Amino acid sequence: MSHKNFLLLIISVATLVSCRPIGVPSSMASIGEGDEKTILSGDRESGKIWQIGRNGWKKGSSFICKSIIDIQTDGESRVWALGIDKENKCRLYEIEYPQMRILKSLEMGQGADKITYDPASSRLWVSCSDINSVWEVSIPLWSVVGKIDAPRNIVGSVVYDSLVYMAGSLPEASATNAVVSAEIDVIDKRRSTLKKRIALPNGSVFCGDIVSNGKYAYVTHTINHHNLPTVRPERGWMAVTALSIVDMDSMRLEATVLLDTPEKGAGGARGMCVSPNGKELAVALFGTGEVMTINLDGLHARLDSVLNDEERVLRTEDDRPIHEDLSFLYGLRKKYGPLGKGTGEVLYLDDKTILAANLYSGDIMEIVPDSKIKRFKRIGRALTSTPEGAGEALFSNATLSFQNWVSCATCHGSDGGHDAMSHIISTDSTVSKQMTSIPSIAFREVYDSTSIKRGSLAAMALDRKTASVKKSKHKKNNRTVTVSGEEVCREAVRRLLFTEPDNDECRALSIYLSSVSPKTSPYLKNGKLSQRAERGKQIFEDSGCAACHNGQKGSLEGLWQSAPYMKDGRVATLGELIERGHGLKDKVLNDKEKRDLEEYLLTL
Amino acid sequence: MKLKHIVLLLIGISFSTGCKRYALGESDYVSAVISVASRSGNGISRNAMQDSLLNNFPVFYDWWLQDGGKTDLFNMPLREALNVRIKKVASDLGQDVPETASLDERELFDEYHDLCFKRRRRRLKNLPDKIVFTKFKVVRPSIFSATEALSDTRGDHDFHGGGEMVVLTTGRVMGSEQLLLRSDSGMLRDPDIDYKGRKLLFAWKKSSTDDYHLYEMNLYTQAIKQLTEGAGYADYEGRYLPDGNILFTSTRAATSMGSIPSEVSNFFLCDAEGNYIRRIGFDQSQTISPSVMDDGRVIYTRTDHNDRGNIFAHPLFVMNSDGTSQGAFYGMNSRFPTATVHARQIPGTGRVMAVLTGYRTPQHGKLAVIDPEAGRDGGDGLTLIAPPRKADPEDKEGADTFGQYGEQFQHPFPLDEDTFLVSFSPLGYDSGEPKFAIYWMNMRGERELLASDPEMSCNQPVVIDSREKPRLRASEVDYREQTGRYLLQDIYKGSSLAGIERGKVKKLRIVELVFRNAGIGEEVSSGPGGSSQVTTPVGTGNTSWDIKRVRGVVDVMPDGSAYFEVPARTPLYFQALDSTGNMIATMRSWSTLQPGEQQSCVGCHESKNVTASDAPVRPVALVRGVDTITPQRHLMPEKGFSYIEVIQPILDRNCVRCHNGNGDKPNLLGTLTTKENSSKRRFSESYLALTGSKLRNSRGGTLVGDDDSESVNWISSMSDPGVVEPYSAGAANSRLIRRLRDGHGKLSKEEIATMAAWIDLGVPFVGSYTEANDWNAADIKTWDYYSYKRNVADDEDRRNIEAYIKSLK
Repeated sequence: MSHKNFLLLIISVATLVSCRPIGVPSSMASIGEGDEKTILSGDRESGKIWQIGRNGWKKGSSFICKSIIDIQTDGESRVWALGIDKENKCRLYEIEYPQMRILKSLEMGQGADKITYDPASSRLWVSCSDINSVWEVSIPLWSVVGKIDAPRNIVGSVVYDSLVYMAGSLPEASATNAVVSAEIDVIDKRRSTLKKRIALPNGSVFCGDIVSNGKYAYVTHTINHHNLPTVRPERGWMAVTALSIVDMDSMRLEATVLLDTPEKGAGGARGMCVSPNGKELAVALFGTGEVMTINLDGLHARLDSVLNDEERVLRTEDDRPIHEDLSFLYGLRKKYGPLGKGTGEVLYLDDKTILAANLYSGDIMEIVPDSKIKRFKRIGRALTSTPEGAGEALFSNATLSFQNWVSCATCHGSDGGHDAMSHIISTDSTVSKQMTSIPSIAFREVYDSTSIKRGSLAAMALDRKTASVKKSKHKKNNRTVTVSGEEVCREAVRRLLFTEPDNDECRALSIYLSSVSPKTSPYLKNGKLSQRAERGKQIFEDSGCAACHNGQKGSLEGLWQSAPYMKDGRVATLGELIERGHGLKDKVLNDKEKRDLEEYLLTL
Repeated sequence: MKLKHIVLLLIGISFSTGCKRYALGESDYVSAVISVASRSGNGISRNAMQDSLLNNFPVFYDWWLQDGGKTDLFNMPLREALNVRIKKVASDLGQDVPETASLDERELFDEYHDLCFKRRRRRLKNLPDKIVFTKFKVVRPSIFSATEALSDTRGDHDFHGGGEMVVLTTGRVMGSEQLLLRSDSGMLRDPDIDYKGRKLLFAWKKSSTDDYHLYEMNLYTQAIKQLTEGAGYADYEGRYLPDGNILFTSTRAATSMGSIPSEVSNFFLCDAEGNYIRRIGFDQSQTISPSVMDDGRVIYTRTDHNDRGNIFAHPLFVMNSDGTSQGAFYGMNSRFPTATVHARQIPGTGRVMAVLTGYRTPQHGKLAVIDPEAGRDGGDGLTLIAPPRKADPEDKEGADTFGQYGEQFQHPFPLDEDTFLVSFSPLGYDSGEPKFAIYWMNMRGERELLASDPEMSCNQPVVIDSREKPRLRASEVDYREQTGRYLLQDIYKGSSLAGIERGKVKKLRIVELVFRNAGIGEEVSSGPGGSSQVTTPVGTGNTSWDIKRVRGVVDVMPDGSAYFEVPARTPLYFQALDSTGNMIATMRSWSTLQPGEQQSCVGCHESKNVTASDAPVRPVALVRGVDTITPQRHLMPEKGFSYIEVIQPILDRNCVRCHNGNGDKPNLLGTLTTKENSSKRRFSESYLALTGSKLRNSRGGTLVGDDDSESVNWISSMSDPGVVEPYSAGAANSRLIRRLRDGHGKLSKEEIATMAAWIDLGVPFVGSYTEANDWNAADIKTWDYYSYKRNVADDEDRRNIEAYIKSLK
């Protein structure tokens, strides 16, 4: 073959490859047994569900809706999926297997992203993260039979006998409380009453998943050391990646253990899966693109040996709590990878074989202990092949940071919407007045402080747009200095991830940040203000709120999801903020007006 | 007739069949072994015989050694010894043992060697193509770390001219050597390969009057460039850093060890061309054998004995490549391992491979893998390897000459989780001084000899290949700054303040260590941490190693937090003080910040395997704002703490009226007298009385203090390296201080606090190394020579930093 032909071949192959649609394997489930076992993988990008044989061969793919968020099966014949329809509504589908035709569907609440199957009661419990609610769906009746208040930004639930354990992702309290952490709520599913609220260790945010082995519930999350200045990432000084273990019978937090090692961080965890024999837990390490397995028998034996049953004091030999011990899991854990970018979901094919879905590299990898990791199935072209996708992948990539301790998503969350910044930066920025090289200074100089405090990336991106296209202005020595988004990202990586980024990384991050748009408030009714909210809007305008919150600064974009409020996050809810009379000066509102105003603010 | 001649004779009369084997001298080897086995080498010692076989037929005889007992050749019929070996190799290969009954001895050898070749091919399947290594005679200094052989040395100068830098092209079975550089009267050492695999960095001392400097060779053109220079400075162990700079250890520190009167080498940085040489290590003694880890940090060996014994305190340390975050990695507070050297990370793992050796030994010994996640001290998380085994309980007691029996290892270079290159001597001291060859080896100790030399040891194998650069850590160092900051989250966390109730610690005393320029006169200190001479002594035996300069105090908040600014590039240690000013606990090490560095820690002696505490509130010290050191006038913050200038005047004012040498009372007069000729220091009667110093009959009589006395006690300079319990010694335990506080002598509060501080500093006598000396003209000349040298070095450091700052603009 001549050089020219060879070149043509390369180009045509490259074109073919690049024409391939992007695939984002957002979820996995299996159905059938033994050789008949089929793996179903939902594609966030194409809205298809892939059917893949035990050997990794494609059996088929079917279009369901615009985007598939989660899949669940009964293991034998029934398949349910959560997706987003063409009207951007969350919908629960029942799908005929193996024909993969939609049998019926139901509209779900905003942010519906996790199905829990409860065979005992023939129910599906659907977590709706934007509205902090779990919807109870009766399978035989195929209707929503209950809506339960869930902890903030619920990530999922597990069912234990008559109890439902629901893991929240963000704290609900004021950021100035002594303990600020995400919580697990336990409800009695028959009466829908809250039985117990279990607080995770101080600083716990961003739960990744909740699974159970029938006795314990396991929850992955981050612990942010929000009372310490951001001077180094080593040994988890900023944040650690944790696994909390809840005894479902006694409704007690058994312990929280750390997935990081003393010399290397785990970088944030997402999905989990318990092996069929219940002996092992696989954890998807989203930030590093790895999978960690934990020997559960060993873990519980070790916990039993250090837990003092009478006092329930969790202490290691070093007289420190277990959740401060980076070597607690020594000898009980194994790491596999790197497998790709954004390892989000794991699934046991059998007791030994683990499948791991990489959101950003568009493939599912197969892990068999003591053998080479191989690709199980490619779902589509990697999201990282687009500029925004490359940025999104970097945003949650902890290998960008020194020793993999943190990624941007450690504090901001990985969907660019909700984040935990109000809980973190409030203290940090106060500190920054003293500690000269800490990062929040860089941000304060670049962004309007309100948008940082408010935290959501969308608000940050918006701020930058209002300042100038893809540029940001800030005042320095009374001069307006324009800093490019790339420079902002460079400083952020240097000062927060403690490494030197290259230009491509800065560009990609900046493109991604500019592309993030605020999520529509679930408090809007069909995209419009309710009557109450209309009245609240009038109050907002009449009360002079717009004098400060005028769109140029003090942006209120995404207000509904950015609690807690004020610079230091001391106010937990908008209702409380109004009650305190923030910005209202002499104006006195009656209770109805206050509720109307709150209703309006929640639509922003 | 010498053995060499016999071998030559044997070579002369033998012939070979196979071409490749002929080149290796298989037939000669077989003849030689048969001849030895049939006792034809009568009159020659077994060790010499083994040595000769290994020198002349390295691969063949190493197979013989690894596949059976070392003494088989002499104690076992040859046929039997061969059959044992054939069985062993067949088992290694997982194949059936061949039928050998009908074979004669030579045929048995053939069979054995066939199997060995097959096994070697299998073992070396994934061996890198090219390896650089050095040939030299192993340096055997008086302590393991003193290998610099400085031309104007204060002490150690173990140097043997004649060395080579060699590239081994490994081949599939047998490699071939290519000489890169020979130095007939010099020594070539410490090869390092740049990240692109194109350049070779090494240290070269061209003759006994030259000094080691860094050189770089372009591996394509073999052009050599000298990077550093300067007579009287030894620059060695250079390492390419991911940021493009070069790290090396150097005697540019221009200080002398506290024990033997010899050079100290500390770490320096320069750019790729050798410019802007600047000091980043400000350490008491040697910092050696650096290597860069996967995450860009540097792991190295630091001798670390402030107020503790010097025999067992040679732990592994790590730092960022810009010198920030210097901290212990392994073995900081235990007797075992005595010294841990040549550490290198096993790629892609959290483990490091290192050589465990002794103190007064060369840098070879036993090989170990350290997993810090499983422990940081005393053999926890440590596995001796090749083959894998735990350290014996008696090993853990610590031994001055640890690891010198049996097989000897040095310079491991891990290839993957199981295999590594190593410089190894199977016979160890059996044949006099161990002679090393380059081996491929795995954790179980299975090995193949790759390169050897009958004349010299083969050392320091390093793979020549490109490798991935670690992601660069953002540097916070700013040389325009003069200070750095410490944030301590909670002093009550960590083992050194175990059992101390919260709120008890009021202040941290910040003390600078001042190191000596030369070793003049000596004393002997001894205790649980061993026994050692101390040169240019600061007090009598068992008192402080170094001069202590009390910079002042900072506040510790009720929640145990402290946040304060300290001078950068200065070795400092901290003492936790209670409300009376008594020491609760003291740091028996030191810490150094780079300019602009912000160091944060949880507690004192906190485990390195825990994260920060999820405390519900911000550290109070942080809210309060940065504290600066408050100097204490009465402790002479501007210079080293001098008993003569600080304590004696207090005694003169309050005590000598009664305590004047008359009667039974202790003599507290300040008259300086020469009590012995060894220390070359004149001591005052009062100092000797208060420290209970008496002449002991070592080395012709030296003064040794009684660190355990009820009246005045302190943590001895020869105390055990382990963590000391709070309040175990010092002013808080002193009957004298108690009595003074009770009103004896009517001393002022400040005077008593000064006395207490002196005790807690480890009862130093002089505040400068020249104070109260008893030196002759030659001693003064020596001191002045090295002092001048140090001033020049410091000036150069200053100028280089100025130039470096300019270069950044």
